[in-house]
Amino acid sequence: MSHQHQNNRKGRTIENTEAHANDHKSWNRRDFLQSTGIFAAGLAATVNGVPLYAMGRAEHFGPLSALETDRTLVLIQLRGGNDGLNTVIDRFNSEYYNIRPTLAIAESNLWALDQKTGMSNQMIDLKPMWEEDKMKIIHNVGYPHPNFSHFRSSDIWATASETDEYKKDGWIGRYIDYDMPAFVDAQPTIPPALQIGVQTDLVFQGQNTNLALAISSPNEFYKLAVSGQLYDLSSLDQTPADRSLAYIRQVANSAFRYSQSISNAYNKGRNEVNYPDTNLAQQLAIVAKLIKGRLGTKVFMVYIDGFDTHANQNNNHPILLQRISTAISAFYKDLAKQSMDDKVLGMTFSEFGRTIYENGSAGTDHGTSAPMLLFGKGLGKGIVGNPPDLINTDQYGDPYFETDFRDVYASVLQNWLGMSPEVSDYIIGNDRTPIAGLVPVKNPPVGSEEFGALLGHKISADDKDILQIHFSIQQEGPVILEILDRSGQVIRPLLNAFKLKGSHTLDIHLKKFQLHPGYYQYRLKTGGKVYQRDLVVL
Amino acid sequence: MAGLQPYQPSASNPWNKQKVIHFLRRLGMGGSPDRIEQALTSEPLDYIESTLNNIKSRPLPAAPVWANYTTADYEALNNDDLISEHRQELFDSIFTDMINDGLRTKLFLFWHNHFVTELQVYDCNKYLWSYYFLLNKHCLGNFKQFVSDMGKNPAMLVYLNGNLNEVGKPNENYARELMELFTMGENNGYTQGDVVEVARALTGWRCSQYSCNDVTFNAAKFDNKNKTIFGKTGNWGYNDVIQLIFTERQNQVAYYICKKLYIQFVHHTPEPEFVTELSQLFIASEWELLPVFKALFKSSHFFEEKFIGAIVKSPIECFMDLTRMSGISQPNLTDRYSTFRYGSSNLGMEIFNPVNVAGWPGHFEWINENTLTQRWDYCKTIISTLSNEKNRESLRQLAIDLSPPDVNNPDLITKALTLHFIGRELDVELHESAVLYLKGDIPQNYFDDGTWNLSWNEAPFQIANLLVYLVKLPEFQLS
Repeated sequence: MSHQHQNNRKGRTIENTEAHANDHKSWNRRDFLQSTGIFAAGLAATVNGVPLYAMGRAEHFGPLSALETDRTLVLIQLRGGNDGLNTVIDRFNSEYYNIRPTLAIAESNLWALDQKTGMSNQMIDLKPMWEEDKMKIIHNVGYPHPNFSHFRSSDIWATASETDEYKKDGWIGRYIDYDMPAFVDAQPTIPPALQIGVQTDLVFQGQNTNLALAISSPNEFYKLAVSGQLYDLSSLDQTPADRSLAYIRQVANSAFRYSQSISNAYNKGRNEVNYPDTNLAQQLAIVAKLIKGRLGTKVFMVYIDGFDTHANQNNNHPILLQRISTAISAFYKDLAKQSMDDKVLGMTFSEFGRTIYENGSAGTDHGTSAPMLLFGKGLGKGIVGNPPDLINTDQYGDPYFETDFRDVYASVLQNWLGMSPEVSDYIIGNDRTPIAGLVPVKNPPVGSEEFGALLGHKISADDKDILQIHFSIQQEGPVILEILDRSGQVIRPLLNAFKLKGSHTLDIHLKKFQLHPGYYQYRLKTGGKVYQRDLVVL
Repeated sequence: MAGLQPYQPSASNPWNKQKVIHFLRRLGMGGSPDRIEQALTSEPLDYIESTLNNIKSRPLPAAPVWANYTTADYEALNNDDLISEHRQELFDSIFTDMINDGLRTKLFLFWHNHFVTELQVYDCNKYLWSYYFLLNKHCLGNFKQFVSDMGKNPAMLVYLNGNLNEVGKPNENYARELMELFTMGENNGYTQGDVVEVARALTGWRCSQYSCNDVTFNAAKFDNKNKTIFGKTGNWGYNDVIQLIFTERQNQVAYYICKKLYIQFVHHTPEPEFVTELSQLFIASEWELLPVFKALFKSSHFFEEKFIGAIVKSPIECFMDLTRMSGISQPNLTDRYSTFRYGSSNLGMEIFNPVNVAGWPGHFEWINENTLTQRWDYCKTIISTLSNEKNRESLRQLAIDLSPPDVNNPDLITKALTLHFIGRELDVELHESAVLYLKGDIPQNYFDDGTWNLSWNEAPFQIANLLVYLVKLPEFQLS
């Protein structure tokens, strides 16, 4: 074959250090990482100035979702850009072996998924899952006009945005925003989403607040789960400084509303298999324990770092694949002990794939698309799409992607989590189509009984004094929209009118309504139901 | 032990960044990076001396055009928004001053919380300005003169009903607070009889919040008869009352005020011995505040380790500390002024409207579950400004300046930034988490192979990410 692979994108090889650094500098990073870390807990509500925690914590006010669905999503982030070609192998593609003389995984070193496709023997632990119809593969997932910066591309995956669209909240954050009504009388005591690892990405970031909980390391988690408190009081002295610190630590510990539910779930749940001694496996062991302890959290995220394999890839990548495979295998075996392996959808993702050819350092550079792996009992067996075409590539020599990652998200949101197409559109943008048969369809879908939905709010792009509130109603009728203060008193009626079925946007002039910076809620009443959300004016 | 001996640096007790930050946080609103650097290279006692002298010699705030606007003036201008716009102007100038200097504005807030008035009661911009100006003028001046001027200030006359106090219809409100809150302390050397008699002696001073007119003395409203105050009888008038308090009850006044200074600037449980020595100095200096402040801030007692981080920051101190420590210049921060004003207000500190005549109780009262979590959110908003497009290069430069030269080790950079923003080192576990926040979402291989450094495009966001972690630490709430 006379095909000549090109490598004319600057900054793709590690030898060209300066240009490579530019790969990381070439774009204007999002305005600010909205990460909130461990204290994502947000605000305690007050009634007449009395904080409500004093009135007792209502455990059942956790995610509504916990009542509506027992389905859980576990996202497994492969940080650094995973090499897709060596993760799912197109066994008889001679081009693959041509362009990867040292890195290609030989037929003798893989196990067969089907007649054409294989996985490295490093991932042999996944073989039983594949054979038991608990695993699916989506080939060649990406997005148009790919960005090669780790950070920008991570943001694109996290926010489900277009490559030139800068959003400040993540797809799971928007899902939680939608799924979690604002409670005037009590904040949730169960984290709707939980991440192990420093929360630096936008996946869980919601519109105002970040209700998700991020715990920076398994160690920190164990400390929290065992002691039930974030900060240690025992090591403090009786000096004025230490006494003051003890006071604030105590308040911070009690402000951490999730401690009780986490402690309870941690003590209730048990790991019933041995996990490998790897960081990813330890993270998944915690997640399994919490799921089995009936924490009620809907979305978890764990991570494994090290996929940025610019040099000597064979020294690292096979080990990483093995860690994924052994950790996931243990995780699902553990869940199966309580017959919960059909309630948990696991899904890997990475900010991009890698170049299809080897670079001069026996590694690969930042590329475009890569496969995603899905796990869970009842998924069925299957490979969606086709392996990347290694011959007809784009101008940079990267394959064209086949499946847009947002269509995968749409499948998860609509089919696995049971969101309506309208809500799914709100979360990940219009025109996304779930992939038929990818995941089991939730029946009945969430919210099928609902009359309306508060889709969200944002500051107008044209005028920063205008707040736009979006809502939709399923049946025409009277609609009341109002703003409440933190004590739950209605302070500004916004709308009291008859509205037609469909989506609506209401523009609110912040100054005219005297909405000074502060914390509010807004409430939609229609069809005899009430929908409420938090609003922060900055 | 706890005397006024001045601090002397030594090998075991060095003049270091922690002490500089302690001084600048307590006297002011945290230090800008260059101010910290300047302090570190100075001899500590000289530095403290000149810092206080500089506050005293700073030009006073310039009067705005509306400084003398009466109600009639505003009516003639026929614009309903002007009154609140002018108040906003004053707030803006205060925040600008806080960011640029932070020292006198801290003292202004201290005295505001001592000689409390509430704008929502007197509701007049002219009086607001007059009150604000007076607090600035005397913040390190003569306390006796301060008290004397304050009782005739229109904001105070209206707030504590001095303007209604007249012969035959005495109003005891101001007379009581003058002794109970402003000079001597509750039940500390006066009787109910003294309150009645002092009120009579203070009669005749007039002004009206309805017209916002000037303060005048109306002799016809003055109680022109003998009064007996602290056992002394005479036809006492306004100046006599001040004179009597500061002579007959000088020990009570000096101790009460010095105790308050101690609580504000050192620690909420005063050391009686130290306060006594300070109050003797106060009397000896004939009520000049400057020498008292100098003695307090120069004292070895003030710099004791056990007091560093012993006071809970007020909401404004919390915001300003973060803002000023960033070193970002004031014009690039104006989009946060509304956070400063309304954020502090939501956290219980509405400037010009303290909760009652006794002022904000402060310290632990600032923090509960509700206000603590809100502080995090407001601080996050501030951090988003510190790392916005205009400011991110300054933020990067700050980290470069603070770190050892050419360092690309995230551990050391985290240590340097932590010491700067928290004012002390963190426990090991907290420090380890902090490093992870600085590393952010940079793949680990870039730290392992040493490619990462502070010149990366990502660095300002990584610093911001670390700051978000730091402001949530209990340690950050303490000064």
